Amino acid sequence: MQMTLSEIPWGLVAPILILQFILIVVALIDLVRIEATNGPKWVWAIVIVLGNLIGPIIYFAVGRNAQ
Amino acid sequence: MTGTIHVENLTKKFGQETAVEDVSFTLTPHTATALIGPNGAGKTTTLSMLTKLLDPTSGTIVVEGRSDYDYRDKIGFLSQYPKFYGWMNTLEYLEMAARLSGVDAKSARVESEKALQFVGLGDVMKKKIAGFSGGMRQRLGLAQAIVHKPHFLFLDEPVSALDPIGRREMLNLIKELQQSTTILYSTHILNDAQEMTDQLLFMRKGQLIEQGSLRDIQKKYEDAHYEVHFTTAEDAASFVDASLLPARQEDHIVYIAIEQEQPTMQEVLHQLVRQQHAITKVERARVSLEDIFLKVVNGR
Amino acid sequence: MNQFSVLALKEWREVVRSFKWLWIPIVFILLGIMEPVITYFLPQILESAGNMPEDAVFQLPDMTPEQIFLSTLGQYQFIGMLVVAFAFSGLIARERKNGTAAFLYVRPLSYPSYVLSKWAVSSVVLIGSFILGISASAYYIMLLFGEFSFTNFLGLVGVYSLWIVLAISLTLLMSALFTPGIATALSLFLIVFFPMIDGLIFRYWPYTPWKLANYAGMIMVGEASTSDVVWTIAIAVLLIAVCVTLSILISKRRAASVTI
Repeated sequence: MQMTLSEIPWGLVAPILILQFILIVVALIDLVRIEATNGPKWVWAIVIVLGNLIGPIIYFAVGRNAQ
Repeated sequence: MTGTIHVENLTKKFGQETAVEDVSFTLTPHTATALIGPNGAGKTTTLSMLTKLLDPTSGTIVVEGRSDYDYRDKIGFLSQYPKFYGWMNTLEYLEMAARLSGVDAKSARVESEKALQFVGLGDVMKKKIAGFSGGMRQRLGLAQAIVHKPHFLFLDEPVSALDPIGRREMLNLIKELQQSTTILYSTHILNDAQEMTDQLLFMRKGQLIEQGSLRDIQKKYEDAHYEVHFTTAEDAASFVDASLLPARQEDHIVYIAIEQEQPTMQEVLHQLVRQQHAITKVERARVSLEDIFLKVVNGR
Repeated sequence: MNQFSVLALKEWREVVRSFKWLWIPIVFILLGIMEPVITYFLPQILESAGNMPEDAVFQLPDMTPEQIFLSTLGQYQFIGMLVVAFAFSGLIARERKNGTAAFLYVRPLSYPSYVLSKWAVSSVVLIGSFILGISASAYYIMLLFGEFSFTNFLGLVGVYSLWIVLAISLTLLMSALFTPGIATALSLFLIVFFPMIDGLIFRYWPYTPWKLANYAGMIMVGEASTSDVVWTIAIAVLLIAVCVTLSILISKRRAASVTI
């Protein structure tokens, strides 16, 4: 049984994708606004975008704790 | 009593180290006192005890006639490098400062706006602090120290980190505040102290080694002399040989020591005229605060 | 009370402007719904990954709703607690180290209000996030795996919420005691690592508060011993009170170490 696009229950999966997207966007907005991060900002931008769910979490938990 | 602090035999030890030793002084209303000393002299420790951040090991601080009570609503403090919550806006920050110093909810807004107007931040009340320059931060720091109308203002190196314009603005503000508060500030920039001081406190290695008004201290440490500039070193040398004055020559300049107002300027000029050397400048040099500082701090 | 409301407003503003109000609930919701979805579609996912011998047979055991709840709690115990340790261990320590607290400590500050404002706002954010997350999880579990006992679910929510309050109390105490780096490290030990080894160390003592998360799961499955749970709850409440009281006393004593 090969799963095709139409077989994916989008109603169930969509919230996951939407929330992940919101998380990434919020992290990026915060990254732009914040004074300084723990390490260079561009590295955090990559972590946030490529890090899937964990990327934004690591950014919020560790990255923005500079000051 | 309002606006008066007596500090008596204040001592602070950290383990074996004595940071402040047996310091006594009095602050009187509407005066500015400069706390002067090299780094590590105990200035910040002294201020920390006055703000009740630190408890003294011994000694008393008598504030407006009483000791051993929480007088913190009567003081304002500006630290050397004031740090702020960058995500707050100016007005929110100041209102919080006012409320925590006991200003009631109704007046906090008005008092905050007044303080911000006073320090020149009236047009950035809704701006986030994060984007502020060093000068703006220092002025905001001053605003949080005065928003509750304290009787005493303690400022730790209030202008040291500022550029000349920022420094001028701060000094003018502090001078104005002197009308209504008792000010104690630490500094290592002696020009500021010279400009804005009723009393000087010199600290070294935790001890208060000299105190008094600027004029008294200047008098005490005065090493007054005349300075005569000749056009050539030969002229200078021949003047020293010919005159009977206590003179010392260095290249084309002659220094004549003054002791008990002798010799007088007239006598010096008289001799100069008699010898007919070409001179470019004659002046009575006064000792600067810088010189006094070096003398006091290096142990005379 | 006056100071408490002023300081709680400050903490709340920080929660809003640092996006904690948004990202922490999203993390709990995502963890909550990914667990049932991934478990449910695991067979298809494995098959579509291909490269499997034709005759390989996947016999995944049928999962009960309760088991999915357990694995969701597992996610919260790991990633959720990592978030607590990292995002909240600086509450006192960082503002003391970077000097932002200096203007608080030179004022006639009420330290109970100071500590309780941080404790209350953090607890609200984390319990709110957890309840949103576990509810989303429950919804998905019901859709994909079937019905479960709602009473047991409420028990799970209550007991795990208490664990969250304990976790934030321990973290706050570390923050009052130490510098930011050490506070984070010790918080990680106390709320992420220690619950894992608690079963080994206190094997025969059922009342350690670090077993709360386990009990939350066991209540869901319906296997919890009531007396064990009640005693553990009582001890946890006591420990929370001790942590908060100590945090108040210590943050006052250590105010002088603020950077000025």
